[in-house]
Amino acid sequence: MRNLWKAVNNMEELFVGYVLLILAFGATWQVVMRYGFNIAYDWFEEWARYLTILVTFMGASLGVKYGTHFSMEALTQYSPDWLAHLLKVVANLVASIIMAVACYFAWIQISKLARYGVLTPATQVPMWIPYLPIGLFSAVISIRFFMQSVKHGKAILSKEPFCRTRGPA
Amino acid sequence: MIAFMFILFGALLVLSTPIAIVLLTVTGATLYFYLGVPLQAIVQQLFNGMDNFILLAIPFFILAGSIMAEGSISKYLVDVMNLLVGRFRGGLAFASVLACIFFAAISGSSPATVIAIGGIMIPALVKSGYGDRFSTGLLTCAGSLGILIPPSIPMVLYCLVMNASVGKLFMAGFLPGLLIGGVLMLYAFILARKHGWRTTQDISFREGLRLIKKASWGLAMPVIVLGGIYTGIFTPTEAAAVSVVYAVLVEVFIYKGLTWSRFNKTLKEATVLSASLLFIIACAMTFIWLLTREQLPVKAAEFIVAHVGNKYLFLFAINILLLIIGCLMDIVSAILVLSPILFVTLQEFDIDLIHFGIMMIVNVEFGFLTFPFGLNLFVSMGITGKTLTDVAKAVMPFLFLLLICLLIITYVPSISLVLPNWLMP
Repeated sequence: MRNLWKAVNNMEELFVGYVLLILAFGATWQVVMRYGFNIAYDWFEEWARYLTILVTFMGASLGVKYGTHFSMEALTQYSPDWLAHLLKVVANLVASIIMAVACYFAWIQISKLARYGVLTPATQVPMWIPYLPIGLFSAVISIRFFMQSVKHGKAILSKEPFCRTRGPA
Repeated sequence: MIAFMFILFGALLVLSTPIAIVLLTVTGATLYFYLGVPLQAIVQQLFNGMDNFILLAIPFFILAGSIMAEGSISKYLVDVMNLLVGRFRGGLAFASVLACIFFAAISGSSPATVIAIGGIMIPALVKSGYGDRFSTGLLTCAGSLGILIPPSIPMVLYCLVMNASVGKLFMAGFLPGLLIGGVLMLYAFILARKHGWRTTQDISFREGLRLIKKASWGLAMPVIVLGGIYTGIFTPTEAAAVSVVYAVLVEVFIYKGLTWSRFNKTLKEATVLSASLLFIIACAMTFIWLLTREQLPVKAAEFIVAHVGNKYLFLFAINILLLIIGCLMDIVSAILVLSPILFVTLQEFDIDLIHFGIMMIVNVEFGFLTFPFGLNLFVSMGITGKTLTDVAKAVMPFLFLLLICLLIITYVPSISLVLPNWLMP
């Protein structure tokens, strides 16, 4: 079960990476076609923009897991371990709540767009589809922030030292 | 309302809440408690803020920089720079700075430049008898040129929030970048004379040609990427995409210095880092929308103009403010928030957006080098195995040099503006 979970996590990370890579190859292909054959694909730029939204929100949820979101660590850096953990409990809880609120309103927006049948300008695809990553991944981000909050809460109880190193940035 | 926003912003920052969340919470709470706007507006603004093709340039430049930092391009670049200037007094230090300048012209990231060039040159300098502290300080500092010499990720961000021309800002970064590079080399020369640092190397003509041939794929990259932008063949976003494709083809298929498993690892790390930055931008765009809606930049301008006598004092105060902020938080996020607030003030004082942008970028360089949150310091820690304090101490003399350059760039706008005004009127 643990191996399966690890494989799913790995797939999630690679998926976002390869979407970016495909977009890079797509944009280069676009340049070649435009200058070589005078052909421009209208749909590419529109879908590249929408896929950026997917990459942002899916990647941001991974960022919570790896602690790569930038924050001001001036206080946690120099406070005792229990206080640093406590600050993180509150900070992650605030983040979890605001992302839950964003998720709620994202779904209201998605259902409104679906109800009114709004379409994207170039490819005429239902507009709620590009909004979908915001609704889905703000929920995942909220859950992951909550899990981080719980993790730091447990660390206070078990008197675990506070890790003061930065993420892969 | 402004006091509420200010207090909430400060409180959440101090709590160590992620900056993106701080921006989103302040925007949401202000809309809900003071303006009675439905919170659905936040979702719309998150979407609208991201619905911009130029944004893709950021993950592309991060990805290209990471691939090249992991691969072999940097090694071959170093060999060629060493071939060119290595024989002079302090030549290895010159080669280090030149390699950083060249790598900066193919990558838009400061930490990637430190990893790519510092990883090779710090041990090489130390081995050749250059001081340990000098070598670490020089490469940590010269790596920060990665964001001043185009292409540059923070420049794309600045242009995005200030609605400025990416091409012009890129062009404006050249001379200030060369100025800082020149000052670093001059300092290296003075120290080399004092300590008698000299690297004896004997490379034959044939060997030299072989090195240049080997490095030609890397040497051609700035010509393709920057040449493509300025000849109008592609947009900055497309240039970033081309640099990713080029880096993948060269590193994986030509130099074969990157295995697939290492490539996948690099891809994952670059993606997560990119997404963290893009998420801040999404939230910052929502915050900027609120600022503009409530005309806060106009109010800020009225306040600043009434209290700060002239533009020189204003520029000085901004520099001091950014230097302090750089010691407290991620400076790139600070610029995303501060620049739009100051937009109207810049017009009032008749300060050029491009010149101000370059000044901001040099401040970002400072932020990358100042204790305790400078990103380059952490990268150098990883390369050298030194403590954060040791790396920060090694960087100190170079910070002083950078400060002099910052003052020159701030008060002599033509250094930044001469190239864009001449070539892109």
